[in-house]
Amino acid sequence: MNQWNETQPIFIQIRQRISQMILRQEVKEGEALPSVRQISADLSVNPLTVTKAYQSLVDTGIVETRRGLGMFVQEGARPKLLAQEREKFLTEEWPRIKAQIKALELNIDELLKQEEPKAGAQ
Amino acid sequence: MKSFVALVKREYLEHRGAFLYGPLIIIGLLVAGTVMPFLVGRFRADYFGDQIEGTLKFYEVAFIAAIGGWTIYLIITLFFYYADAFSADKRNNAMLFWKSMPVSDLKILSSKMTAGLTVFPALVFAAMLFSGAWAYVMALMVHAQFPLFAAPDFLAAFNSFWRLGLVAIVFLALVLLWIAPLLAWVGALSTVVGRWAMPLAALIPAILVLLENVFFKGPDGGVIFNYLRYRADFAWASNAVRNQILTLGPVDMVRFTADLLSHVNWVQMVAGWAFAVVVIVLASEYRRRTLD
Amino acid sequence: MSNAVTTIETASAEPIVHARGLRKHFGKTEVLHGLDFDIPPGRIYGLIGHNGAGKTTTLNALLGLTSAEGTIRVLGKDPFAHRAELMENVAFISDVASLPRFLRVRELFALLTNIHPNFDQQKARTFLEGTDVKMEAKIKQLSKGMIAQLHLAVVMAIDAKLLVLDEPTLGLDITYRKRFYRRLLEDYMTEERTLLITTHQVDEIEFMLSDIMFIRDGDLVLHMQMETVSGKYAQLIVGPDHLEAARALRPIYEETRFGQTAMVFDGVDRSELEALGQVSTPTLSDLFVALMQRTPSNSGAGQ
Repeated sequence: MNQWNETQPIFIQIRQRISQMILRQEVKEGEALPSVRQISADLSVNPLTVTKAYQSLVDTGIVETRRGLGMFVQEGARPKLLAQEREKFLTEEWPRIKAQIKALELNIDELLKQEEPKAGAQ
Repeated sequence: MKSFVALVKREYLEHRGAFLYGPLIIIGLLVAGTVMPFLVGRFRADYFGDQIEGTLKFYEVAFIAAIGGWTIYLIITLFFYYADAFSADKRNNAMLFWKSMPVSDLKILSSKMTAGLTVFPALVFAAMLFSGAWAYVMALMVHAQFPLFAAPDFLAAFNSFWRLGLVAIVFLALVLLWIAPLLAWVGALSTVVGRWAMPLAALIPAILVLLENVFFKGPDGGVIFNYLRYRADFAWASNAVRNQILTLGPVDMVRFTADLLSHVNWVQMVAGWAFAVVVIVLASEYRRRTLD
Repeated sequence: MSNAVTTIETASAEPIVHARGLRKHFGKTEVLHGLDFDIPPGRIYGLIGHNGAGKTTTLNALLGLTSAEGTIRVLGKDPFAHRAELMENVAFISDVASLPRFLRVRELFALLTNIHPNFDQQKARTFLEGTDVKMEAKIKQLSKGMIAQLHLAVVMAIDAKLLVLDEPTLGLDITYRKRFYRRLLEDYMTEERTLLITTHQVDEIEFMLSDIMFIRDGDLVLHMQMETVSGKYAQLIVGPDHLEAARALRPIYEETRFGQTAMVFDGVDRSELEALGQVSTPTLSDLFVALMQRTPSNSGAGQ
C-alpha cells in the first residue's frame, strides 16, 4: 500500500503537492519551501525525483532557487499557479466531469445547491 | 600506528578476563589465605624449619616461587588466548564488521600476536610484583610468630624486590620470545579450525613425527622429534636460574642476564620468529578469503 | 525541457562501481554468470533478487570479501586486492554484520576514531541523540533495533563515497525501518554519495531508488533507471471482453486474481493498451514477479 497513484510519474505527484501547498497559502510568496532533502526524507523518495519536481516548478516560474538558501516561492507565484491550474481544470478535468454529470443524468443546479458533499465520498 | 595500538587495546578489552580478573581472584585468595589464618593465630611458618637463615631469604624464596608460579599460569592462559582470539571474530557474525573496517587481515592477526606478547604478560607481571610485595608482608608475619628470625630489613628487602623484579622481566621476555613460534602456530591453526587449535597444534606434529619414523631411517626418534624436544628444553633458562638465583648470596643481575643470554641459541631463536611470521601471514591469507 | 540539474549529468563522471564479466564459482557450481554493469555516482541503486540469486555474492565481490573472476573496480580499485584501503571510503552494513559485543558504545567510538580515518565521533553521537542508546551501554545488552540504530549512526558518521546496505532492515519492526531510511535520506545522502541497497522489502524503498538491478539465478535480467521503467513497462488490468486482443500484444506476464486479469507488457505503446482496460505503471514488486518467473506466462513470448 503506497501513497502514490500508479498512473502519474512520481515527480508530477510531488509537484502537485507542492503546488497545493502554495495555493492553500501554507507557504506564502517569498517564503522558503522545504528542502529537497526534507521532502525526500518525509516522503521516502529519491532526492533526484524531488529535484525534478522542483525543477519543473522553476521552469514555470512558480519557484526560484536562491543560492545557498534553498527553494523559495516566487513573487506573483500564487496568481500564476492559480491561472495554470484553472487552465488545466478547464481543459482536462471539467469536460470529463460535465460528461459524467450528463451520463448520470444529474441536475447541475441541484448539485451546486447542496452544501457539502455527503459523507463517504472520495 | 595508532590504528595498531587501538587494535591491541581491543584485544585487551575482549580477552582481559583470564589476564586481569583471573590474577585478581588468585591474589585475593592469596591475601585472604594468609591474612585470615594469621589473624586467627594459626599462621604456620614452622615447616620452613631451619633451612632458612632469616626472613630475608624466606622473602626471596617466596618471591621466586611466585614468579615461577605466575609464569606457568601465564603460559597456560596464553595458549588458551591464542587458541581463542584468532577465531573470536568468527562468532556472533563479528567478522563482517571487522571486514568493513579499513584494517587488513594481516594487521588484525598481528595485533593479536602482539597483544599476547605484551599486554597480557604485563598484567601477569603486575601480579608477580604484587606477590613479591605481599611476600614481604608474609615475612613480617613470620617474624611476628618467630621473633628469633630477624625482621626483614626494609632496605634489603626492597633491594631484593627490584632485583628479582628485573630477573622476572628478563626471564619472562626470553621465555616468551622462545615460545613465540609455538604460540603463533596455535593462533594460525585457530584461524582455520577455531578452538580445535589446541589439540590440533599437538596432533599435527605428532603425525609428522610418526610419518617420519615410518618412512625414514633417521636419528633416534627422527629429526622432527628431536628438534621439538630441543625447543621444549629450557635448559638455558633453568640453568641460569639455578646457578644465579637460587644461591645463598644476593642476586647478581648482570651475571644472571649474561648467563641467560650466552646460553640462548640465537640462530634458533630467530628461526623461530621467522616461522611465526610465515605462519601468521599464511593464516591472514586464509582469513582474507573466508567470511566466517 | 530545461537544462538538467547537475545531479543528473553523470555521463562524464567516473563510475563508482565498474564490473565486466563478473563471474564466481563455488567449487564446480557457477553462481554468477559474467555480470556487466556500471554504477554512476550520486545514485541510489536497488539490487533485487530471490535468495540464492546472487545478490550477496555480487555485493561480497564488490566489497572485496571474496575473490571473483572478471574485472571489478570500486572507486578505481580492485576490491579483493585492496579491501583495507577501499574501506576508508566505502561503508557497509550487512544483515548479519554485528558490532563487537564486548565493547561499550563509547569504547566502540574510541576504537573507530583510531582505526578509521573518516569516522567522525561527534557526528555519531549526534545521530544517537533521540535514541535510547547510551554511551555507557554495553553493546551486548542492546536490543536488535538499538544495535541497528547504533550501526547506522556509525556508518553515517563515516564520510564514505559508497554505502552498501545488504538487507539492513531485516528483522526490524516498522518504526525502526522508517526511521532508518528517513535518517539516511535526511542526514546522509548527498550528490557525492552513492547508495547500493539490497532488500526483500521492495515496496518500502521503491520510490527512493533512482536505478534498479534485478538479478535472477546469477544473471542480470534488468538494469535501468527508474524513470525508464515507467516508459518501458506497462501494467494493464484487462476488461473481460478484451482478453484476446490483449494477449495478441504478447504480454510478458499474466495473472488472474479475483476474476481480474492483470498483464505486464514490455515495450508496448500505452496508447494501444488504453483501449483494452486500465493502464498503469507496474510497481517494482509487480515487475519483480513478472520478470522473476522461470517460465514465461505464455509460451510464445520471447525474453
